Amino acid sequence: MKSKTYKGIVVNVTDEKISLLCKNGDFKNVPRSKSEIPRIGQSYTHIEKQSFQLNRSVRYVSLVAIVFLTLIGYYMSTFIKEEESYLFAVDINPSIEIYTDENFQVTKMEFLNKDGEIVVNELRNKGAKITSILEEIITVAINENYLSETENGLVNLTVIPLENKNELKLDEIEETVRNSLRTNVITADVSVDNGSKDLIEESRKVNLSINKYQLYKQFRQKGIDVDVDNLRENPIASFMDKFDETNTTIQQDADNNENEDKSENILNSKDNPTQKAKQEDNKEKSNKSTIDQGKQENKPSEKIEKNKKQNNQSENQKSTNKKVTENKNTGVKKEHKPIDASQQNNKNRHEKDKKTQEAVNNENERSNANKDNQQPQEKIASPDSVNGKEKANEVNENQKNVNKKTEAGNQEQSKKNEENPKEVEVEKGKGRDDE
Amino acid sequence: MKETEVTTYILSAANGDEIAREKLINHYKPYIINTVGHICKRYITWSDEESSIGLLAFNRAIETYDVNANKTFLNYVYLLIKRELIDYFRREQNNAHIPIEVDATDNQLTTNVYDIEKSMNSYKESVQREELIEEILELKNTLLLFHIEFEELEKFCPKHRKTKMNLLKIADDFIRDSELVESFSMKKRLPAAKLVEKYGHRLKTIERHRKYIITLIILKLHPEWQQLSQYIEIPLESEDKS
Repeated sequence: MKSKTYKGIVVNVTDEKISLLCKNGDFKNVPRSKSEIPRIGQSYTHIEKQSFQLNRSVRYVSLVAIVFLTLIGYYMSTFIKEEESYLFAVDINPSIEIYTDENFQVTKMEFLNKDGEIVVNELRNKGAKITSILEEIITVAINENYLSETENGLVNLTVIPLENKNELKLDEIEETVRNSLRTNVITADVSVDNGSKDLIEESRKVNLSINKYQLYKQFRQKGIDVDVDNLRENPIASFMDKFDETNTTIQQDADNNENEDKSENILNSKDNPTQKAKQEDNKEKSNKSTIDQGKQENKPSEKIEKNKKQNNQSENQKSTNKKVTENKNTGVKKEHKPIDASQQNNKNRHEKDKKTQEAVNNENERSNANKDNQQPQEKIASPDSVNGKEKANEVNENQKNVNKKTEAGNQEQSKKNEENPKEVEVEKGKGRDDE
Repeated sequence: MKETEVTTYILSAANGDEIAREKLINHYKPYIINTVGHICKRYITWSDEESSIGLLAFNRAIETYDVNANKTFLNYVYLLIKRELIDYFRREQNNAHIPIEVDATDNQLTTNVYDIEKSMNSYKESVQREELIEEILELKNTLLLFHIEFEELEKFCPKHRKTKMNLLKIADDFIRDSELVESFSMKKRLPAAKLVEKYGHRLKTIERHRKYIITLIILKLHPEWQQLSQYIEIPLESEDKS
């Protein structure tokens, strides 16, 4: 604060003021303090504190403005928070988080990796309903080659209600995703799950998308080390291989202890091991064209027959397997949904391949577990089996490609099969996830 | 009022000249009220009881002032007023009106008086102060003839040094012109129109600072007010220095 000093002689004293004659000839009236009556002629010094009068008003204005802004900001923030009642975490590889309001109208989208950024930028209508956004995301993901016809993709979707009410129908969401996949002729496993708010915070800590965090958690439970950075930037599907491998060993023990019914389920759910089995089968395909079940069975089945000589019920077994997996899907959505997808997308080659493989596996499994025989006859008419027959040749080719990649694993598995049939089953279930 | 003038007035008033007494009282009225206020440490108006006590003390000072004593009249007046007021306060004390500060001021007074009597420096200072008071009182009375109060002069003060220089120049021009000065002291009015006519100053400047210009002219017309004149001349000097 600046201050100005007036020094002069007192020429007059009134009730409120003292008139000074300053040294420079100016006359100045200064306020008089009550207790002070200077004598006329006395020299007097007055120090005037210069409070910035303009600044004072500015200060008040700014104060009011700040209060006003904070109030507005507060209301805005609360308003926005109210708007977001659901969080949809989508992972294809693009990891995207979509916030919606109560009516599933999208309010906000966040991408968690580079791929996600690309996809979000591609989206045209960002305020649409969640279903249409999901469809669009899938189309964009297809356009950007995150999902392709030749590869079996994985679409992970976790829905987290941010408010306590949950009026969400997961089935509907899942259905829309599947439909859009189907219309685009894409094979992909779809997993839709329900999460809790805690998941968000936990995943934020590790800086992973929610779906990947769940995977990460599973890995950790199994005692597997996963590079977080690697997981962040790469699609989930690429990690499933690892997961499956480890799963097999762990699940083996569990299976042994569990009831036979459960073991069946596990067998059914695990498609990948079948692929491995198929690889071996493929080599033998050329040798035997049509055997035991001549009508419907394809070459792979024949091979299997050769190997294990239990081809009779392979078709039935396939269908039973599928149904069993379906049951599981309703109960445990994540793990077994891929099978549902395969059922729905009968025309997709991969799925067909899988099914044929499954059939083969099932046969193997049956040899191990006799209980499967009870169910097969009921589900004879399953479309997969028909398709499987028609496209067996193509399947074999595809399988060969797959087989090359997983030859090493297969060899191990085959060994395991010999040793312990249950292990094979477990491995199969995990292999499916890889696809 | 010059010192000799004052003594003659005092003498004649003490001898019963009511007109001289009236003149003295009128002249020293502002001083009396200011002194009373200073001693009472609060603002006193003529409707306060203390002011009449001050007047009575002043009246007695006229009668009892020893012209040959080594005291100035104003100092004597101050002493008398103070004693009268202290007596008054003591009387009032019985009625439970207690101005607490009286004792302190009393002590101050004795030491003050003692100092004045003992040291030549302080004596000179006090004399100077008395002179200054006299000058101020005279200026005040003169300004009253032009209906000017000290309080309102602030408004007419020039804010800038340039304007101040300009105003001083106007006052100088004015004093040199005897015709203007005559009409000025006769009519108690600033002949602005003639001033503008003769010297080409801007009327607007004169109007804006009219009362300040009058004060300047009065001060310049009374060079005997040495101390006050210093206040006016200083800006000129400082201007020269700078």
